[in-house]
Amino acid sequence: MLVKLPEFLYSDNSGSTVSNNDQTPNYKIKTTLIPKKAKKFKLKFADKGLIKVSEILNTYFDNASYSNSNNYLNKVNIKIKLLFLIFILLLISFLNSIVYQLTITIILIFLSTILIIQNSNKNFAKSYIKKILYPTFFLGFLLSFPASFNFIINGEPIINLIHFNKEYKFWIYKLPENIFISKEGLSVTILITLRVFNSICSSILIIQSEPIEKFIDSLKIIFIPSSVRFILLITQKYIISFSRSVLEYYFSLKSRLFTEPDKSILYKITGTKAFLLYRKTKSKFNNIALAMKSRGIYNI
Amino acid sequence: MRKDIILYELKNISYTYPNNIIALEDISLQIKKNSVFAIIGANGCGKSTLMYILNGLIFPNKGEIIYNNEKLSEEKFRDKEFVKKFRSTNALVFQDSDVQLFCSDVFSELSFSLIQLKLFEKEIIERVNQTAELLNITDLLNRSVSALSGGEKKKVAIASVLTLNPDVILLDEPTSDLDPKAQGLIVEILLELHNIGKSIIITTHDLGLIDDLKPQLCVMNEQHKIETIGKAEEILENEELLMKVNLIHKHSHIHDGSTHKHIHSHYKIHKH
Repeated sequence: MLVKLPEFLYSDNSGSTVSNNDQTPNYKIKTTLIPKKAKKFKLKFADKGLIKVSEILNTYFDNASYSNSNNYLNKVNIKIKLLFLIFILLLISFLNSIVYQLTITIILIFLSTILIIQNSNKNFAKSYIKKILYPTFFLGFLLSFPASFNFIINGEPIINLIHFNKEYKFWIYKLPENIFISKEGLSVTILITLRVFNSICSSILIIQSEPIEKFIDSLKIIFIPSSVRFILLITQKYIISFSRSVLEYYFSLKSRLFTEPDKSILYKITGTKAFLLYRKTKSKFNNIALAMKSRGIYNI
Repeated sequence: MRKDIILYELKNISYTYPNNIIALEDISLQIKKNSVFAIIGANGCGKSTLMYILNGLIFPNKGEIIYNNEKLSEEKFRDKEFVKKFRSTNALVFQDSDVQLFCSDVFSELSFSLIQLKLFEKEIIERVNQTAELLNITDLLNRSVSALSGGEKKKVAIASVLTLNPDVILLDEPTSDLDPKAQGLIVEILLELHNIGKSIIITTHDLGLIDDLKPQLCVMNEQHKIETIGKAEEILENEELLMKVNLIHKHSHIHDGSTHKHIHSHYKIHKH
């Protein structure tokens, strides 16, 4: 015998020793993880949510896999790309006409299409489109859509929606007799949506083409101080590192849970893990900063 | 008789991460019950991803995985009874112990799975104490997890899995962070677990560990594919193959004033 294993490891683990009783035994041992209530916590939303959040963070902040592909944007000098981005973002902010914004949209769609064709990768195309359309929908369209209604921006009716017998007043709010989508309101919604689309599309188009580290480094041409660039760089690394740690923690929890956990247990585990993750990412953060300094980045 | 039963069967599985990074490509292999099976390969070849797939944490984009004659899929893991049975008999030790440990103190960590299984208190205490004794961590039981060193965390992570008494033990780089004495202990424990009928699956790039365990070996290359599967003794002798998959390297040094180059690896086959 090489080493004497504990007795229980020699027994068959077919489930005979496991209590079939749904009630938790009245444990007296000193551990913080004994369930108190019978309420069960559904992990399904956490399942999808954590994976999705990690996926989003990684795809937005970790562009290394695309930045080395051989497309027309990779060949342009990073400083020119940065100046182009600043110029286009200023243009998007100052132009108040839907026609001008739409022109920029068409140009950006054209440039993006060439990029997608050049990459000729289905996953790249899917990821690129998702990166632009999701925030445009949520931050642009959905947020600005209420402005289309006449109770926010009054104007010429386009589509009649609801008719009340009389006008209603609540405190400082007023609900008109007829609720409709107004021409002026819809213009505002379209303008905001196009602005959000243009800003995100132009940023993704440029940032996609270079590793984030290089891009942050190039900010020196617009006189961003080295300490700020250093913080930006560490923040980017920190976000990726943190999102990976969270995902791995989730896997470890999933791997060791047999049933839907008790709420009280899950709160305690999450609390402890949040603390441990904070400690771990803080130490990683410090190490990353030290490693960057030791390699002479920004000479801080 | 039992040795011929197939535990895992992987049929042409591929896995790509959401940011388009390929982790596994067209992996097909069989792992027998009550065997020691090792997956070796250079860093980033997809070993950990394969472990996550074997533990039912992620699911391949292509291909299928059969475990004990049942196909592992997201649908299968919606069946609560199956999850309970699978998780209580199939346990994974993560490469990074920091992510695996989530309880405030070592005792809670070791008893976590047992409390979930609603074992009797006496048995929980016995299992925790015996396992702690086995891994020489009895004096750590009341310590906070965050105050442990890397090696201590690794031992606690292994102990937290052993208390459960799983039939299948997956270990992702089990000897990383451990000092040579602790590495020797882990090897002995793994060999004894195999002797008593457990299935052991490990990933590593430590050829010394492979030499000690003499497992059935799957070699993965940097293209995330299987280079070969075979007996450890045969593969460890194949220097050309080990060079190809970056597990050994050519190394220059000076002998009597003249420089020469030879193949170098960080292990030595022990012969009687």
